[in-house]
Amino acid sequence: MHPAGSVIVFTVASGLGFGLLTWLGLGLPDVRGRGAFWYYVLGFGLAGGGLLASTFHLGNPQRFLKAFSQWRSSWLSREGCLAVVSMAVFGLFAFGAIFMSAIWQPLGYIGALLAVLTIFATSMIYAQLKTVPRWNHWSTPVLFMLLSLGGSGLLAMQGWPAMILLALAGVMQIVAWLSGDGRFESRGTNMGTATGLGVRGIVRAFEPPHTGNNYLLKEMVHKVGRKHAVKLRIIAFVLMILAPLGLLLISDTVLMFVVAAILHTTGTFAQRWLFFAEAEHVVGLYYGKR
Amino acid sequence: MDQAAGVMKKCTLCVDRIYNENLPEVDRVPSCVRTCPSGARHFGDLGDENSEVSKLVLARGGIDLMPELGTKPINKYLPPRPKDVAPKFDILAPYLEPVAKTQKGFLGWLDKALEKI
Repeated sequence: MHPAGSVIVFTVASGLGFGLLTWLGLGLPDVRGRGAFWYYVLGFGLAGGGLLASTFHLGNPQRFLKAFSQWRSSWLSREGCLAVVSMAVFGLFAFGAIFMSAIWQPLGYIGALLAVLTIFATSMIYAQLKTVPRWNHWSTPVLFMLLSLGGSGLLAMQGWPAMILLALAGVMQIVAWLSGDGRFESRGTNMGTATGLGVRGIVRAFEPPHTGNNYLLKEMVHKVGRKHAVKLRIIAFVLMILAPLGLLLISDTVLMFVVAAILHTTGTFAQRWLFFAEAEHVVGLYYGKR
Repeated sequence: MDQAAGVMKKCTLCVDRIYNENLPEVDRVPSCVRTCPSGARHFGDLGDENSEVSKLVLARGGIDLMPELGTKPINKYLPPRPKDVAPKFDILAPYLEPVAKTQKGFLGWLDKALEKI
């Protein structure tokens, strides 16, 4: 799949943003007044900025409202609806925390639940696709949620909970990479089933269907950059998981949290880039490609 | 994906043709079906068991592409027919057969006379 910048920014930023809002909704940290203001600016900035970035991926951004109407069949639409509802709940919760120094805890719990559901819905946009075997696995939503909550735990400065979540995310990332590598083959989709001629013999592409490029080839059969996948996996894993864990084990000062969060976010960008670049859509089989 | 308009576009099965009562009955199919030079395409209602296409799919063993994905596509592909074998047949043989089996005239008399000896 084509790793579009807007979608990478969207998944990373809104993941961290909704993760941070979840922590704030749970009262970790319990911030009020002026301190709370900056926390919510960061949370809403990341969550809303991510959503805004995702609209740049639309062919007609002015029609984004239509996306909300398809919630019965589309995870993307559900994600949008959940995002708006949870941000509205957190708007009210943040108003209480900032201007009245009051923590309306039930509202915080509802908001936290909605924010986690939003992250889940984001991950299901990818995990539901049977046509992309690498994503079509339970590890995708688990990894998205662990990374969002772990990474935003760094922003919320929750030492041990964040470290445990990040360590679990690291394990899940390895599971996702290792199990994802052979899933295309193990699903049994190949040129034989794509053409229905597999029972008669071995099918191979004689010529491409057309000589030019097209939308499917550009978006779904994007092969650029898979060459460096192993190196990028190491870079992503070190920055995203190992470096923050190492820094926080050394000390848990504010500076360490800030540096750890920056490293983690950088690593997550690399991880998300790979998430798209390595994913292979079965439509490529009709072009003799993967 | 129509990149100029920025929207996904999808085949309408020539909705302007298939319900158009101003067209003769035979033309009320999508253009691709009507113009296909080899007649490889067929159009009809697969939801109706008694439609022509449903019978065709049943007779020819129509299949789904990528059935393992379970996407329940609304079109069926007819697999290639088994290759036919040309009968062994000499096109000139009938013309090389002798026209008259028995001789006439003097040679005929000689042939019969010699047979009898």
